Amino acid sequence: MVCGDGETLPCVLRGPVDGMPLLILPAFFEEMNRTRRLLARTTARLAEAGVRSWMPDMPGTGDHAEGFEAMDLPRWRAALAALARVAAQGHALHLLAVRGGALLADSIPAASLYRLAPPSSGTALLRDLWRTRAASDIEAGGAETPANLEARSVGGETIEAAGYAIAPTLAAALRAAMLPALALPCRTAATAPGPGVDIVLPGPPPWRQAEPIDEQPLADALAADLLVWMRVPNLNA
Amino acid sequence: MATVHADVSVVKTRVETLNVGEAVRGVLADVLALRPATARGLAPATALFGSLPELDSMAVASVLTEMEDRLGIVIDDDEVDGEMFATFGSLVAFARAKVGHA
Repeated sequence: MVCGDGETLPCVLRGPVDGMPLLILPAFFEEMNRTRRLLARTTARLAEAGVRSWMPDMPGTGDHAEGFEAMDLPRWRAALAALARVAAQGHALHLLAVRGGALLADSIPAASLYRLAPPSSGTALLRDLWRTRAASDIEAGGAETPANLEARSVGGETIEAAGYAIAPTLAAALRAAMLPALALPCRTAATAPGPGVDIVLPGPPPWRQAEPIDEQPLADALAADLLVWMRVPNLNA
Repeated sequence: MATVHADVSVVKTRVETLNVGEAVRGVLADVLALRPATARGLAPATALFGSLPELDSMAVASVLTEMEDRLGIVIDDDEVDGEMFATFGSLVAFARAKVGHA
């Protein structure tokens, strides 16, 4: 459990206490659950190589004391910035942003940022939520459309989607969230070539899978690439 | 291991010359967790929606989102109909038109 700025975040810590610190910015919604095992395997590999990783349960997720209504992007940003100061402890702190976590990287003091499959914007994540909800409606015989869900959300309704109650404030924050232009060194990985991708890692992408898959090849490749990235001497000087 | 300082211009060139058909094949293979032989066997006339058991409405939503990510496009859900997912060829044709207009 880690405190900072009045916020308490349950955290999984792996690796030696004095190791190179790495803070994980988790994915959002179901994508966070689907990437947990990948991150557990990746950080286990990193720990063997001397990396101290911090994987927080953000407000409203996992073992955090509050329910999902605590998911609030400004609060998440502040919590991550506070945690970054705790995790750095005088070392150069590196960030690993998973999917939507990359949207929150702009306010966190760090030496470098590694992004795993960042979405193009918060709007893309919101569109996926509405699509998922519309698809489940269709399977239940309904006829809700993503466009109609978006209109209802903009009109101030809380929309239930993919098991989450998306409040209008959260939806608005997602709509406004863009991938920040960053002053710090940044590397982008994905499981397929795409716009802005620096390295392609072995898929399939676990955040798209309804059923568990074997993430070990992806975890191994991600850990290996992260280690090279974090050890670039001018970053750690 | 790839070099740390990936040459961004090289990467971009690769994306621009990306084969849309192969990208769509990759999306279906990854999202639907298709067996490699099934993924390789997707031909323009291969029937998708209603024929591939893995492709239900929920999977269609994930396929659309993953296509947006990989091809750098935005798909308006009004454009999505049964015809688009009728065959592998029709899905690739839709993606190709989208990439052309991007």
